[in-house]
Amino acid sequence: MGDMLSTGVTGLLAFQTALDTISNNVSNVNTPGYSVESTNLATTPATPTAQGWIGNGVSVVSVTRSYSDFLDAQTRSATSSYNQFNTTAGLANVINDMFASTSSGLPASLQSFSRAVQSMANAPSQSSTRQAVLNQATSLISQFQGYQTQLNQLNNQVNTQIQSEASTISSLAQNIASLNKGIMAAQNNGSGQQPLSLLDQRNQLIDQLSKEVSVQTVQQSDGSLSVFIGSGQALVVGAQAATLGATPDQYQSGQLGISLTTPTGTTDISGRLTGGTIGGLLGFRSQLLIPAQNSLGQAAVTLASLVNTQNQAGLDQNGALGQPLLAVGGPQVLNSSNNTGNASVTGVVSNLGGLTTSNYQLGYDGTNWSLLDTATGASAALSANSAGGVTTLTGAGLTLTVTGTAQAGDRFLVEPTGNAVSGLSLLTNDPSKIAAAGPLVASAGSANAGSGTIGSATVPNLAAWTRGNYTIGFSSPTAYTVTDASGATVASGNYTSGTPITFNGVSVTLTGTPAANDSFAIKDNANGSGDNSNALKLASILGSKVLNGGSESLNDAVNAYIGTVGLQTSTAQNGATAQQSVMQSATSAQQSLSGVNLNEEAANLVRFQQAFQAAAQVISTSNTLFSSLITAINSRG
Amino acid sequence: MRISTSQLNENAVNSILADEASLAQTQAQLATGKSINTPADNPIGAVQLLQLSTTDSQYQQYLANGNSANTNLTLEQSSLTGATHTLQSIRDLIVQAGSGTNNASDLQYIAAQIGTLGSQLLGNANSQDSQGQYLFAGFSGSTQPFVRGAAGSVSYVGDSGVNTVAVQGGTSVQTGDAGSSVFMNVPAGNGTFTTAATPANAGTGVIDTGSVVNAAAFSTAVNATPSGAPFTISFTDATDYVVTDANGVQQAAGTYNSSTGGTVSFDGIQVGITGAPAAGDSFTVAPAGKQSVFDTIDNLVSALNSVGSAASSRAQLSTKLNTALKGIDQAMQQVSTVTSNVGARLNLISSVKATLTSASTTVQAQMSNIGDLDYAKATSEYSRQYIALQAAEQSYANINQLSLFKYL
Repeated sequence: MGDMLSTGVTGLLAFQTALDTISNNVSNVNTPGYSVESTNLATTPATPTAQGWIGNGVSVVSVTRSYSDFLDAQTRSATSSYNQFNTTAGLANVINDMFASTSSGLPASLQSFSRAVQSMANAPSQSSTRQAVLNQATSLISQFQGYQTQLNQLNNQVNTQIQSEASTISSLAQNIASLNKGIMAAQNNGSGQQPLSLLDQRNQLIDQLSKEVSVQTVQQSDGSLSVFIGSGQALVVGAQAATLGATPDQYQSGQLGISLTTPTGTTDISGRLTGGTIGGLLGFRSQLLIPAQNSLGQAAVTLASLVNTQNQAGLDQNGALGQPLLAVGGPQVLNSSNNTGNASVTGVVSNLGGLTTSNYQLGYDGTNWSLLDTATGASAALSANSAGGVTTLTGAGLTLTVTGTAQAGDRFLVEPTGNAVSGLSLLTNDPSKIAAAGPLVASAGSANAGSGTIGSATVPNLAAWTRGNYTIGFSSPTAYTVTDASGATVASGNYTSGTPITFNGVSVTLTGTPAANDSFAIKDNANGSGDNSNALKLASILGSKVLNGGSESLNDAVNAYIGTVGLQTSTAQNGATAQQSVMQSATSAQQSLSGVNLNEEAANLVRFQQAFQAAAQVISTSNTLFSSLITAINSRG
Repeated sequence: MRISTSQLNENAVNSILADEASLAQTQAQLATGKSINTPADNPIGAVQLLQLSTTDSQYQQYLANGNSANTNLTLEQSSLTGATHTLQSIRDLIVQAGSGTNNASDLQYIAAQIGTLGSQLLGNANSQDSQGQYLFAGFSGSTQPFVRGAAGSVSYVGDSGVNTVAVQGGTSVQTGDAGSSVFMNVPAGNGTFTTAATPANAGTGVIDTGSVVNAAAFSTAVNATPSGAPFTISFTDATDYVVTDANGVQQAAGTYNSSTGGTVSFDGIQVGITGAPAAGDSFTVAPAGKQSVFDTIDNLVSALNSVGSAASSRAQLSTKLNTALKGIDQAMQQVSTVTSNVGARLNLISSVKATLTSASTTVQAQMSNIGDLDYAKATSEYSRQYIALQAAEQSYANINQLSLFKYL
């Protein structure tokens, strides 16, 4: 009977513990990271008697949580991927929206500029049409600069986010390390029981960490969890946490990278971080932001180069030789802060066809220079030429000049066009400075008796051009003499129909058979305010295929780039959508195991409530039995 | 599968959010009427749209170029028509002057009329467009191209430049003609040679402007070394003549009948002579150069003004009227060639305009195919998504009411 009482009490205590656990589950139904707990009961060892083994009730063995390392790791990996794509998609959307309008975007502005030039060609002497060209150029430039400003803001946003990411990750690491410490202490206090709430908290922190960066964990025998980020950088080991910092890139202070500080030192780990928000930020910067800046720059450099070259080949409204109309920023070469030599490198664009939208890392190994595409790591062709202590390197459409002495291991970041738009500006506000007229006007002498006709005269070599009027005279149908305005001979030779005659930088082609004493005048077009021949060339040169080895025009390149932006954005968006469903199904699987189900708890509540009542009844019955025994004894005595 | 209570909520909310997002996108498409609102919506289609819009923009510019060229050419055409009328009037007056019934004052009156018409022609040649640019000045549009110099003759100070504009890919048209090729550089005489009476002639012989029988023979004679030109037809007496070249070598000889007139042939050409030349009279034949129409008119006016009453003077006038008539005919010929070229360019522009308009329509239809919304499809999509969202919301509200705790 004494056994009955104590057996009943064991049930009462065990069911109370079970009800406690149920109430804890119900209370934590909405607590993130909470794993549903259950009370594990076992029979108390029975007492052997001659009649057999008599049971001694129930005891609570442990309270455990429903948890799977595998499901947690899956959820975290899906969370990291989703956050990476989602961050990239959000930032890419900004660039995508910049180019969304087909009627007012960069292609439309380029087209408007080209059309303004063509309209000017229709009436080259009108200052209103010339002014329209300058106005379109101004609005084109401000559009370029507006894009550049937005991209710079994106860069700042990325920097700010990298800073806050670094401090978020650092503080998560601190908290994980202190939980590790607490878990190690609790697990080794001799009870042999796991501190469930601390474990849940630690899981929850690691889940949070997986949003920021991809994370791997290794369970240690002392109960602590070692946490690694990126490609295996130790963030937490035991009770020790490393610190993440946002540090300037080795080439430029305007770009922040991520560095890891451990007791053994600080290393730049920007290149090794993947996944999570931080992976999205770094990926966006290298895959979308820098190419966007460079593509805009490439378009600006091409525009300026084409417009300037053609404008310099003609005469402006005042009859003066055209001057460059647009200024544009040149290539930028930045020294690594780790360089030991004193070399400095400057660059100019020497070949539009070779110009790319990549940035390059220029390296020196002590004897040779190399050029690597920073985005792909691919090697680019580079030819070197040393003369008089100055090394000239040619590659990627650039000519780079190295002065000073480079040491082995020195590195430079080459940005061919990243800086172009910031230097883009109109060099004149005077509409008369647009060179609409060709430099020369050629005509046949009115008394010519032969069949010779003269084509248009051009100046292929501006440097050698001496302005003035020239006459090509024929002493016989096969011999010509070129004289200048003073009658001095500047060139002479044998005439072949169709072969250009060149002198003083001028080239002109005659066809047919001139008679002796025929002459052809090549006059300086200084008075040619009504001429549109250079304006026509200016209008058509914008469509000329000069980029990408001569296969793309400026328009083609801009259109193709916008297509790339659209493709990258939709890839990021689709990736985010796909990873979201992966994450949701992984979370479902994890929650299916570890989450609290209220209906289940309600059922358990009923079950243990009834058991508790039954155990109480056992104690009550035992009491009744005991009382009747006492009464029987008393009545007898 | 066991579903945790919080997961039940979260799943329902996630699907409602997803439904809302797709509904919002369809709504945005319906609002703009475009299926491509940003490049990411359809990267390939977006690039095609940009390319097509570039193409269409270029078509529009070609049309604008054509209109601008059309304006210039129409203006030029009306100037040239004016010039043709003026030249025709001058021609009529020359015929009137040559009728032989005019006395000196009549001729002076005709001279005055021709002078006025000459000024009118000069005005035509100096026509300006609405911007004050001279039509016939070549590239030097701001300079008056035809000016009467101190010596009294008209000279051309423009240049030979001619502007072109692109009216279609690969097709350019001239938007004007240089004045030098319209009013200057008119072939003199009959185009091959000119004829003249020696001023000292005492007889009444009149030479016409002649014609070419064998161009090669004449060219050989002129281009011989030393050159044979000019040639002289000399009358040794009233009925006999010899033709000599510049080197005194006789080319031909013959007899002449003053009552019927006669034809003198030599070196592949022939000229007609009428009237009665006196012994010692001579006529010259020289290879034709180029002459401005204004010089032709000036010469004509001075010939009409300086005519005397003597028969020989009248004969000189007749020769000069012959020359002037031929000169005006040559000028009219040149102006009408330019006019017909202008007409051909106008035709080209108008046919190109039709082509471009239809090409532009095609491009716009293509753009609409790629970028515009299929409303029927989008509205049915919208209803479907609307119903899905509604269902998700309703089922969520229903499921939420289920709990075992309600029955305890």
